[in-house]
Amino acid sequence: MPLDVNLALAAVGAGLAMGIAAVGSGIGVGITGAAGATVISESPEKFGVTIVFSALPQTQAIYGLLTAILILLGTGLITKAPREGFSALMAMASLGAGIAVGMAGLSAIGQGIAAASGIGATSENPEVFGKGMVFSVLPETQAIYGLLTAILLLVFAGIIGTMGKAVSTMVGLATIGAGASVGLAGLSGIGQGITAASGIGAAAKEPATMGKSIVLAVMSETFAIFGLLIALLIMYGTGLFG
Amino acid sequence: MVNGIEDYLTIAEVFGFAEHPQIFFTLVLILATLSFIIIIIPIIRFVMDVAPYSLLNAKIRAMEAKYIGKPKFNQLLESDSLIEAMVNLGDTEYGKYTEEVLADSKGLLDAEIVFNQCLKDVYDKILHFSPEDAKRMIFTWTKRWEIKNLKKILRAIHAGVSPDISTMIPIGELDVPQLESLADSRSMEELISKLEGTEYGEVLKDFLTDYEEKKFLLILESALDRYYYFKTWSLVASGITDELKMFKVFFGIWIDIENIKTLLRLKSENVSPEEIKNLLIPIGYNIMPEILLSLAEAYNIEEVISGIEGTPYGRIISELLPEYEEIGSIIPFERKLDEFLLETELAISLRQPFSISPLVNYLLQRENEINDIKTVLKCKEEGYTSEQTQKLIEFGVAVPVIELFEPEAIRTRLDIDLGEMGRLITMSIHYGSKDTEGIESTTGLPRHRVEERLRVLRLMGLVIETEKGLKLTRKGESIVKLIKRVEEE
Repeated sequence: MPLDVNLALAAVGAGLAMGIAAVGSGIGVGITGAAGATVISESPEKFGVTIVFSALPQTQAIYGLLTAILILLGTGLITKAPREGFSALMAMASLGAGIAVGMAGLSAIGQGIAAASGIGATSENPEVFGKGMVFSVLPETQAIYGLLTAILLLVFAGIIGTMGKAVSTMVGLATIGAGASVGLAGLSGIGQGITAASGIGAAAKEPATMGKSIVLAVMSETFAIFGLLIALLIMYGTGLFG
Repeated sequence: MVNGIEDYLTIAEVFGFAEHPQIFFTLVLILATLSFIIIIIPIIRFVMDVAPYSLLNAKIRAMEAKYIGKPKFNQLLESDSLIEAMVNLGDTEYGKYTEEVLADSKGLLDAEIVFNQCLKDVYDKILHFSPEDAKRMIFTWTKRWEIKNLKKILRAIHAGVSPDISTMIPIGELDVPQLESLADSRSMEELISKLEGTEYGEVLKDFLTDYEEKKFLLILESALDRYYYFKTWSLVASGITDELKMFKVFFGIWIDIENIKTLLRLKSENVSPEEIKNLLIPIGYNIMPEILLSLAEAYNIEEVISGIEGTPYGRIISELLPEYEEIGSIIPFERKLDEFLLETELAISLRQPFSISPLVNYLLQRENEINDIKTVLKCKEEGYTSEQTQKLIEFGVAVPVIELFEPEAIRTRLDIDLGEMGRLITMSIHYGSKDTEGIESTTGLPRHRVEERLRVLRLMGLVIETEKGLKLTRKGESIVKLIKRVEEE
């Protein structure tokens, strides 16, 4: 099977998407799972709640898996039929997509911290389950932005679908920039997770603080939105879409 | 040449590496790797710092779910007897402890012992699963229990009686057999020789000569207190991590409050400024030590309060001045300051959930809960109503006559409890010391009740402790006169 450097780089992109996102999810689920275990040792009947919260930081790894499969499908590597004419642009766009999903997947660490707090708060008072979930879901958005950017890169670089444009190889470098923008901005999910964890504690003790705590927790979101905005502007400015 | 490399060679050329593209690719790889490391290492370090506290926080929340709660506490208050109260605790976290007492049909004294053991178990559990740095901090903080136990032994030796081990909470390194051995000491020298090799042995040895000369117990008590506060403060103040910084805030406020309480108590008892200065802990957080010492010279309690007006404590207790003037007791101040400490620690624990604070908050809340339960059990044995018991809990002391706080009520309701109180005052003066054993044999009251009542007498400002032993205050004198007059009538 002939494998050129473009296909190899795309495979690296798939690896980064899955690998880095798995690091984030692994740590996030580890924190949540350990918190769940300590809670179950006190109250075994809280097992169900623990499972629900522990599942939250797993989604980032699923986004990484999805992106990696899309890249591998686009390259044809998954079917052992390497795609003819897989360009350097496509290879670098795959790298960009991998960085976007992978790095944004590290937000699972923040989500794990928030979910651990959710487990604690719910074990103390089952009525705060909903609030705990709302706060714990917040760091998910960074990962979703990463996935969105990755799919846009894969689509407009022509790796999947038929919307690919004929643009210069140098645009490929720009796609790595777009991926880095949304991926690194996605690290704000860690900060958001910490704020959300405190918010859960505050809302559990004093329900009236829910709104204010949400506002505070959402503040970290702005950095992720900036990252997404810049990624979209890079793609638009370099003529990848629009 | 590798297939498809041409485009990358063009990129290398654009960046000026047309001659040596391999250097360009190597640089790109190195940069990418370094960037990843620079990003990932702080994240991993952060996670390693925060993760243990994240787990701890969840565990603490689960444990907080087991507080007995208001409905159960009300049920406890409504219990008709000590036994019923203990049965009502059967389905709570305390069930295994009350079962032990009920199974052997034991009395209140044994209930007190098992609840002391319960508090020890709580501390042991927290220390067991705390992260190492927090464990060190909590462990040092818990030495206050060892100090309390040692002070009880010192007092007993000073008074020439046997200390009551059952009232000691064996938290810390000094376990029950060690405390029993120390309690067997017949002199200060013997006690200090038994403590040889421990940190307390060294501290007490330095002040033994001074004590022997003056026979003033506060010399040894104060030495222990100062040793404890300085040791703990130096630990919390020395380059601690973010997770432990909150303990400094808590412990600083704790010391400030202890100092304010000492100032208020001693001022209300007209103790000389020199004696007050000796008893203050020269450490300050929101109140600088020099201000504290200058407050020892204050003319009265009002002046002390105005001296701390700019601090968070001044603001909260100045509101209670009318109540103080009405009842003539500093208990409302003490109660408010204790509440402030608890509220502050709760706020810190919510603000900093991944720190030592939730753990400290839990220990404080649990200690309060156990104290409240013990008070309810005592009140149930004495036959108090739920309203009276509630009031006693609010005041933080188990007093036989709450009416003593209200001068008017003293005149209108001179019941047997007040008479008993008067006899205790007289006897405590007669023995001239904290000779609880002497009073115990004379009154026929169990020692723990005698100690409790003497504590109340001190808290209420009826007696004060001087170098020569207990002494009646003006308020105490008027009560004794009142009782004598009623008895004559």
